[in-house]
Amino acid sequence: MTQTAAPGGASASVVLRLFIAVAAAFGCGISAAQTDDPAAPFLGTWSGVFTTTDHEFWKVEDFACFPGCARSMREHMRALLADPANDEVPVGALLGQAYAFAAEQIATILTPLGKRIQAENSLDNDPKLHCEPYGFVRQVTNPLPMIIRRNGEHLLFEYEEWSLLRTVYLDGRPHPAHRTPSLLGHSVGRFEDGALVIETTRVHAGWISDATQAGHSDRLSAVERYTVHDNPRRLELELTIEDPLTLTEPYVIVKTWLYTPDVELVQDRCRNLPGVF
Amino acid sequence: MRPIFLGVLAAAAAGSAIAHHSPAMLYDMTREITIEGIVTEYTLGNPHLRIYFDVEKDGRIEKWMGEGGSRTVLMRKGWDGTEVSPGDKITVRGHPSRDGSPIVHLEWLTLPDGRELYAEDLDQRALEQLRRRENR
Repeated sequence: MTQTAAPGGASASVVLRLFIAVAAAFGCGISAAQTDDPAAPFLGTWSGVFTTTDHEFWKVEDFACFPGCARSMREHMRALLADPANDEVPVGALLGQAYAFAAEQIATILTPLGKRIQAENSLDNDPKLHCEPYGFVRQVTNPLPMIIRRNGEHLLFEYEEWSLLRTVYLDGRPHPAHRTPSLLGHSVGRFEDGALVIETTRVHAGWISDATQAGHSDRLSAVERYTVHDNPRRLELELTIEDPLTLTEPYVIVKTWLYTPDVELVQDRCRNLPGVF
Repeated sequence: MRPIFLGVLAAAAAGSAIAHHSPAMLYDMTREITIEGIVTEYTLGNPHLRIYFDVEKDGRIEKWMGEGGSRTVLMRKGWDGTEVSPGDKITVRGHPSRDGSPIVHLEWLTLPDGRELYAEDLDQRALEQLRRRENR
């Protein structure tokens, strides 16, 4: 695994990170019982397959699912890999088949508006090609590392992707009365049986994924359910989205990160390039 | 120096890779092309690195673009945005667009000094090795 080096110099944060790293190395993750903070297991730096490519935990289908995916797509990719008829077909070509499968699957639950949006979306008009951040769904499932921090009573998600920050309110407040959307919306969280559950509304319309090219409206509501597991220590997300304007039923995306206390976030930036491409 | 279009090599067993978006949607991952050209612009940017280069073909200059891996992923591998400069002669190897546009999904970049860099987020060879191990 290639990672950036930790900064030199002893500080309280470095000592704390070292302690957490040692604890994780010995398989004794920081649990709620040890700290009394139900958020404690979720705090720290988490990285997906791009940053932990060599880790033995990952299977080929995890690389197919690098930006999050429906479970059915992951299973389809596994079936393609297991089919002897595909033994000489490059993984990249099988990925194309898996993405086409995912696009067909989500099309079965799209409303007429959802179908129209899917037909209009293409890699040529993907907003990120014009330096516009992803929007909520792709942001929370993006492939780059993230840090989850305690921020007083709340949680702060720090994403390497687009260098964005996101606050998740844990104090029981409701969503605001206004319906003005924003890039990442308004998020409130709670803990249920050790899981971190976050509800988000009031997001801008955006893409659901570039693999499916499906989109959603600003009426989207989302529930993220994060759980932490050991051996290896990892964070698993089940993201359920509902949108009365584009989806006829809930759509579920899953994604996994590994606990990577030594990974540092890199400043992200975007540059719009001239040209015809 | 005469840039040469080296041709399209049908290569069912050729490497491919996964980019920050899903390249299988835009590129033909079952074919590989190798192109030589002169850099006109290079950016190690988001969402992907891009190299714009001129390719001479049949006495005409074609404007090409090679798209590789993600900025921060490549930075972790040691890239710093100074790999090539305008005027440099390069060779790129990767996958052609599905629609024939002069763009290439860049996997391998040969620098003017002959060094070859892997320019994608994930190395397809490693994925193929993992696949073989899983199938054993």
